[in-house]
Amino acid sequence: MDHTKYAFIIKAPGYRRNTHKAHMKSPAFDAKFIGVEDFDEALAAIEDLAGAGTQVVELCGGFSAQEATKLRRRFPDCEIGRVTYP
Amino acid sequence: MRKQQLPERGTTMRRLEASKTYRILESGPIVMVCTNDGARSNIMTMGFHMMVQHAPPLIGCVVGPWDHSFTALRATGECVLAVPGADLARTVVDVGNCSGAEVDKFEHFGLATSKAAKVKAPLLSDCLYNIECVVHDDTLVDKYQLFILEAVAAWSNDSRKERRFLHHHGDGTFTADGERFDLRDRMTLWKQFQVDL
Repeated sequence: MDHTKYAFIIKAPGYRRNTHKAHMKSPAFDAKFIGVEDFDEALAAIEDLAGAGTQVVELCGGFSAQEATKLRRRFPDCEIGRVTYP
Repeated sequence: MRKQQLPERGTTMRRLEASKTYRILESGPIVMVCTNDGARSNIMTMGFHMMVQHAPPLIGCVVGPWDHSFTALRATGECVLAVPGADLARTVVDVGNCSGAEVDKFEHFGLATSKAAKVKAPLLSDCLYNIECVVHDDTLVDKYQLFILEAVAAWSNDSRKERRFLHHHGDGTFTADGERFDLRDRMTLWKQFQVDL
């Protein structure tokens, strides 16, 4: 199955998912960009995204490997990746 | 398969600081991995592991989808690494040569268990050491089946007479620990890691 519903989550001070967000949509692809303040807010955001059928979520480098691991365990049906640097 | 009876039952465990895990695993003993998927426990033998970090104590280990334990470890994020003595060599091999999908290994091999403190997987009472672990990082699981575990509790069974670890050389060949050299007086750089188990 092609992945056509995607989200990127940025964790940074002062971000709120209800106000810091963008949506880029084409006939073939749907991408959401969401800012969150902390891990708990990311959890709530991904719950909404997974419920809406989002297939892939990428986390910014502000998330730790441990946080990404917790999210992957919480949402096994969603592909969750994290930006890392060598 | 022959049912085996393990010796020296009814022992008690001594709690260790999880930070001392490296003193148990750094020499690379064969370990047994206990998991619990919420319905039942399982156990497998595992030789591909290494210490990664002192604090928090992190352990890298390879458990793949070909292992029945993989699903439980991935889903629960918990396991126990049990370190057997050389007297359990045959049990170690036999446990690694059957699947938890087909047999209750604890019952089949007569393995005594104890309740863990921080995870749902059981401790193996007859092993020298038990290390309770949670999955710290699963980033490399899809690519290399490599779990990074964090030790959260550790136990020693001081009543076991056989204290030698088993080391797997592949394909069912093992050695037991040999002579131990105490060169701590020459370890001038890493004094903070000179702890007794």
